[in-house]
Order: sequence, then C-alpha cells, then structure tokens
Amino acid sequence: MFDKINEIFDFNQKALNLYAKRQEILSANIANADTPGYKSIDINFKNELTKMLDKKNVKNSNILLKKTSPYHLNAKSKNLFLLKTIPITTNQIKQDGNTVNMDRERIEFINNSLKYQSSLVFMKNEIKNMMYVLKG
Amino acid sequence: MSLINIFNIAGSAMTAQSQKINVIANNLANIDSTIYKNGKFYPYIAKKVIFELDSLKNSKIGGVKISGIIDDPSPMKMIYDPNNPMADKKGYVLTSNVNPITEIVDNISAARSYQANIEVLKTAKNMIIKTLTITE
Repeated sequence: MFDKINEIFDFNQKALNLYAKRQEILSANIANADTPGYKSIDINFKNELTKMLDKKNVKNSNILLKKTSPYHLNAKSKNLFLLKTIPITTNQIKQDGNTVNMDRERIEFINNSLKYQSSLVFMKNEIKNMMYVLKG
Repeated sequence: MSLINIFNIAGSAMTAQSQKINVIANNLANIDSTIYKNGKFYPYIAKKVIFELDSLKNSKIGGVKISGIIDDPSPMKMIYDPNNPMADKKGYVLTSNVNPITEIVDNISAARSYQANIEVLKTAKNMIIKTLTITE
C-alpha cells in the first residue's frame, strides 16, 4: 500500500530535487556576480527532468559500493544524478570576462523559487486528500 | 540537500563583499596617510580585493573567496605644496593614489551585491520553511 503512496510522490519529489539544485546553481551565479572570469551557468530543466524520469537511465547510473566482507550492508542507491550544465550567453560583455547578467539571474531565481513552491503546494494538496480519506 | 548549500554560497559572497567594503573604508580613511619604512616616508597605496570562485567538491558551482588583496597599480598623485616637510626640491609632494570617486562607486556596488545575496538567503529560507511545514 505504501508503495503506491511512494509512487504518487515520486514525480513531485524528483521535480523538487531538480528545482532545489537549479536554485543552488542560480544562487552561485548571483554570488559570483563580481568574480573576474566567472562564467554564468544553468541547466536545461526539461532535458534533466526527462532524464531523471526515464527509469532505464536511473538504473544505469546506480553506483554501488565495493563489498570486501560478507557482513557489509547493501548500500542503498541514493537519488544521485549528474547534471549537464550549459553556459549562458549574454550580450553584456564586462571587462573582467564575467558573464553574469544580474537581471536574468534574479528573475530566474524568483521564477524557480515560485515553481518550487507551487510543486510543494500540489504535494500538500495530495497529502490533504490522503488524510481526508484516512480520517473519513 | 541543495537548499542548505545556498546558505554557504550566499554566505561566502556576503563575507567577501563585506571584506571589500572593509578595504574600501580602509582606503578612504588613509587617503592622507603616510607610511614610514626604511627611514623614508611613503604615501599610502590603495588596496584592492580580488575575488575568486570557491567551487564546492566535485562541482562547477560554488561561492566566492578572496584570492588576494593587491596594491592598486594606478600612479601616485603629485601635488605642488612647497611648505610640506615631505616636498622635494621643486616643491612637489607625492600623495596617495586613492581615488575617492572609484572607492565610493565600488562601495555602492559591493553594498548592492551584499543586499542581493541577502535576498537570495531570504528566498532559500522561505523555501526550506515551506518544505518543512508541508504537512501542516
């Protein structure tokens, strides 16, 4: 039964993880807005999410620990995923080689944060529905 | 957890920016100072902070760190002041190369970057709180 509940949350969990990761990348861009030579990076959200949802891909990327003793426990495959980052092209060229466009970064940051929160609200509603059924 | 990392990234940027403001305050305060070294008086040389990307382990993203504080290479100012005890034979005095205009502009820029990072922190904090209170 709990397997099903897991499945319900699976998509939202993956989306939230990816949003959180993207938020981290954007915050790193904002933090390095004054660093000489820093190149602004981002991820292609659509491609990364389809990569994560593709179950075959997930199975292939499982990395297991080497067991040297039979008493070692099985390492659980964590939700690890490698993201492909892409550089952001900008028409603003600064003298020090920095390519961070602050306007773009801030807009994307707020945008990503709101998307994360909307995903969270969907999840919340699902939990509410479940509790409604459980309590009767 | 990616969202926790944002605290480190934005925090490091805030530390770096406040250090920059510190150096600017130091430059402005010492605009008329002289340094006594090896039996000679030298005018104060402006200092500049250089930022560098402080990448997280096995990652392209990261916060900011200060790679060094260098002496400003811009030339010293010569001022005609024959009554000054440090004046040379022709009556010129070598004074500090601190440029108050650049310092103040840099100060505003650093303060704004600091504020931008505080906004990033606020957003990340809100996202974490919303995630923790998903069942409420």
